[in-house]
Amino acid sequence: MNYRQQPADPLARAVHWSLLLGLVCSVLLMIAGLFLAFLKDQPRPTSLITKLPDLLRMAADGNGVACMELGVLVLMLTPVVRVMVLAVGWMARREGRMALVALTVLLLLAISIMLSVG
Amino acid sequence: MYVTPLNIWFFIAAGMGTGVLGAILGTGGGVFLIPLLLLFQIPMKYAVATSIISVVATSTAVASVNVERGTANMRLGMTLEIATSLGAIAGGLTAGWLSALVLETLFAIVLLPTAVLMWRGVTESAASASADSSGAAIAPTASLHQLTTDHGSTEFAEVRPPTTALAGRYFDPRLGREVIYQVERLWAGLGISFIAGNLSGLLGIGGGVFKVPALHLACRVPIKAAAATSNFMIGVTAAASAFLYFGRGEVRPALTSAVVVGVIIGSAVGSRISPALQGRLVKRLFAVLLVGVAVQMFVRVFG
Repeated sequence: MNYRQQPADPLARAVHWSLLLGLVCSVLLMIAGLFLAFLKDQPRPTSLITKLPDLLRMAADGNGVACMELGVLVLMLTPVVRVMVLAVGWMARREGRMALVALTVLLLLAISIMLSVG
Repeated sequence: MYVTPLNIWFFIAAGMGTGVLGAILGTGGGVFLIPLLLLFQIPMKYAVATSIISVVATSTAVASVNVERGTANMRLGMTLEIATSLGAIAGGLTAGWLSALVLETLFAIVLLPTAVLMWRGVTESAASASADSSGAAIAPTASLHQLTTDHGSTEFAEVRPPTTALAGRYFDPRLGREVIYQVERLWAGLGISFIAGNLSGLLGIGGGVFKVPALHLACRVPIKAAAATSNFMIGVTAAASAFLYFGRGEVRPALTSAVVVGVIIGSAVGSRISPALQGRLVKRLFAVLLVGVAVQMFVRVFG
């Protein structure tokens, strides 16, 4: 079924694909993690893996929990990437006001991430 | 409570139900998921953390579809995200100052009049007609649009094409025409978005229960565009809170993964059936949802 009369805006398509890509990657990592953890009967973690290099190395080694945790991180970062795509898109179109709005949201997200780390 | 190969199906099913409702109603679904997880003896802090991650998943899945269809108003959504993000950060910082009982009571009190307004409120067609007769001059390029009233009769009204930066348009397959709308009272939308973001930071919900009626009733955005735009915004709001929960180690990878997989399946189903639903039916479902959540909160506070 066709849900629009006009072709989709290229920027809307870019946002669509950024969200879809982030979602697919994160869900695949989570599903792979669940299968690995249950099929290999891996030990349960006592705490989250907090260092990114450790997380990537353990996920590459087939650690199910690391794969799931990486999937969660990718999912949380997907809306951030979406805001970046819109900021770049509006800047390319010379829509200064909307680009400024997107950059303000990015700044607020950066503050939130810094508050959670620190 | 650990996730096992036996009980994982419950968590996937809970996620599916949350995803379907979130897609149809334009909410993150956290208000349904948290009580379900509590029923299964998941501690509150883990339930809230799981909920906020599932809210990100619901928003991402539904927004990707709505953006492509043109239903989500990205300009309006991004503008309001400034308020929701500020609110989420403020909520996260003040979470330790206010008692949860006070917050839940306020939440339940605000939900009831909102539910009544949604049940009896203006319809999409009435909102458009009202916008046209609000006194502003109609642009020369205005065209006739067929409008269907609440009572099923058909009438025609002049509808202005988008003239402001935040105005929107989308094709409604059920009406078989393009719906064009202006955004009114942006400051009201910003104010309520701030409160919604604040509650998201405090309670781990998406805040769509406030944003959808606010966009529809205060900003005069058609209900389908309001739901789509709300879902578009919820991802950013929830992500801001999710980083805080993740930093505190409250995200349980297996539990979250099982719920998120269910949410994705449910969101896909909900997105498929949502366009075929009537705007009035969506509003009434939303009103019933609000009453249910309010009763649940009153029981928790005073029960």
